[in-house]
Amino acid sequence: MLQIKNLTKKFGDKIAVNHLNLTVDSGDIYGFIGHNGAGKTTTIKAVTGISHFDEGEILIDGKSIQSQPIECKKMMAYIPDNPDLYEHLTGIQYLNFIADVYQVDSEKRFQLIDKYSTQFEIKQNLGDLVSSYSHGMKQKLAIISALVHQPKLLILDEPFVGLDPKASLTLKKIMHELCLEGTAIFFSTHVLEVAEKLCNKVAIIKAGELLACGDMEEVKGNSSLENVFMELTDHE
Amino acid sequence: MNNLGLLLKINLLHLFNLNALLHEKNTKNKLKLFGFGFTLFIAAAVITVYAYMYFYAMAPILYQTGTMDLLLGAMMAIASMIIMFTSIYKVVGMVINCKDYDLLSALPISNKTIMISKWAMLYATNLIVTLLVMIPALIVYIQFISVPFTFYILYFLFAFLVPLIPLVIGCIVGIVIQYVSSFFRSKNLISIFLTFILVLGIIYLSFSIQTKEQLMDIGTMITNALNHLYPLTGMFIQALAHNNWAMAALFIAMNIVIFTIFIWFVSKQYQTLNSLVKKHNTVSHYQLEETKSSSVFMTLFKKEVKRYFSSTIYVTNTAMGIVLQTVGVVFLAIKGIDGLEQMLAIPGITEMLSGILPLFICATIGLGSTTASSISIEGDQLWIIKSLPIDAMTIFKAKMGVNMIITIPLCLINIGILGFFFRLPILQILFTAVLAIVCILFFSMFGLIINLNFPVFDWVNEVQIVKQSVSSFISIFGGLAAIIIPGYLFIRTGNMMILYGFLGVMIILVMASYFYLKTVGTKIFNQL
Repeated sequence: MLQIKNLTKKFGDKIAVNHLNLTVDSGDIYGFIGHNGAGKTTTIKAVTGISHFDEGEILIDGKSIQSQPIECKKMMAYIPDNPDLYEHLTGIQYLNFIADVYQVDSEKRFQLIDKYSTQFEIKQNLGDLVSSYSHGMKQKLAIISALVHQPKLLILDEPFVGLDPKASLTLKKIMHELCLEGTAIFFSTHVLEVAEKLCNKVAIIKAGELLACGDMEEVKGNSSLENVFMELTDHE
Repeated sequence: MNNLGLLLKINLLHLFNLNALLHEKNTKNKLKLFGFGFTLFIAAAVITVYAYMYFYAMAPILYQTGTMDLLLGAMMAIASMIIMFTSIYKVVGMVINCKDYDLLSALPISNKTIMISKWAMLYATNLIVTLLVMIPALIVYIQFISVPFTFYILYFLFAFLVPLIPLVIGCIVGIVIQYVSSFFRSKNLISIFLTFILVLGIIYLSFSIQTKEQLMDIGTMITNALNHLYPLTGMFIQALAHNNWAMAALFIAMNIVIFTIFIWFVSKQYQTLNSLVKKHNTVSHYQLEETKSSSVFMTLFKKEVKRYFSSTIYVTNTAMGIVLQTVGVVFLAIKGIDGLEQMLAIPGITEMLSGILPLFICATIGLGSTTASSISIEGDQLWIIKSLPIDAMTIFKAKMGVNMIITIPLCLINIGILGFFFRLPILQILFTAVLAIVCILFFSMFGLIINLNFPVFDWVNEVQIVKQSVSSFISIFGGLAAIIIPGYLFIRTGNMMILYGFLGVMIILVMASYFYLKTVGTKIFNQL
């Protein structure tokens, strides 16, 4: 579903991501972990078409994000680490805006908005302006907006930040459901316990370079993900 | 350095992108910043020259009638009105409800210090405006009146005091408007409405002036009115023009006392004021209903329209042109073309009606385009449209659509009114309508092109991108320049071929701009 081939991104002389190779298949929940400034968000923004990259190729279901950006974006949804949403819209207006862009029909969007806003317990707040929402509420709204068009590839940048425990559990359940339906999920996180329990595959990045990637069981072996992460990132 | 010094330093570095200029390593970005500085300099120069010409035009009559002190009164009135009016919408965002308020109030810094640091920046920007008006007035004044050395000392001392009270009044009005509108769900529409009422009131006063003699009468009337309502004007004139040291002392004392009381009160209530303007009307019992789906363009367009009307400063700054056009049309309809001839003092203007009216329409269109800030205004939310499956041209069309929807309908109505009152031939009306639409199209694209090349996403206050950006300056001055050249040529020659040629040039520019947006513009947007 997602193929990253030799991705390289530079900011001036600094190499933020250096020849990164990674594949996310349909049904994967792929954890992407690394220190602050390791290159996770840079990689994610390149995948979602928000930022350009200098070398390499990113394919979404075989289509290049550089040459066919619209087709690629139609298949995916992105939830950033900081939910900067349109504050001048109400929650429902924002959801309808996203649903319209993805041309989700009225009946389907009503069902999905109803379902997810109930699960995240913000249905009663959808009529209020986004500017009146707390950080957590904005995060929930951003998640719902990503799910309303049933993406084949879901990209999340530290999705559990700002979510209350119940909402975190809800999101994990939704991720499981989507994975069973064949959606590929690629997300970055600092919470290694969550990554260990949730993900079937993991990639560890440091200073723009991939230190390890593959099946969770293979990467962590008999140890914990935390130990493996500390060992890899400290010794490099 | 104490906390106030630290905050002032931080704020100063952010003023006019100074810190970015000092630390920017990318040559292209650095050149853009220099370009911004140069544009600001040009804008200041233009304002100074215009102010000089304005005062120089009134000086001879004032000198002949022995009322040169009215020039000082007029200067103070103009500077005060500009400061008062602009402070109304600047105070929320620059002093109250700043983007970094939460960050600063969590630090061990008193509310008073935070408030004073914000106020200082508002004062600094308004002081520049004051000087841009006062210096030309001074240059004109000393050409006619011989003044002692002490005059200059007092004048420049007063220059630092003149912004204070108008700032106080503007801030009070701005806070009241924001507070009143917070009771309504559509609070921005209320705020926009109230602001425009103020603007139209000022314009009504201006349109009352028909001759230079009436200007003097108005000047006397305004000065007397200001003396009554704003006694400092009288003190200002007495102190400077008549060397009255008692009045000078009183002027200085009153400014300092009133300002100090205001600062003391606002700093005490700073937290409360911030809470008041942040007040939200929440419903919290929304009932989900099935909604109709829209096309990608329509949903984008609706989003852009909502964004536009959610910002008072964005609306008041960009809709001013069409508002002035409408007011001008109403004026012409009531006073007739003779009234215009008297007011502008351009003989024979009646014979040039067929050309003047289209030029007037186009000049007001060129005064401000919503697209000049439409890329920058995405700010931290740029990631949304960049991550969505929407091509750049659809985004551009939605943004241009906002400018067109606020200008085209009203413009066509205004042209219809002019055509009716002046019994213009139908072909003339059609020509004016076509020219207006082509100009609107061009200015919409021009603003977008400029903003694509000079975007600013790290703004903390919308004033930075709507009023103080390279993009907005180039858009306004570019628009004016586009009209001034054919306008000057037409007034000199009276030849309609000038305007037909102007239409031809505008059509070519529209096509070239569209091509640019489709190719280079799209590339620039995708790389943002």
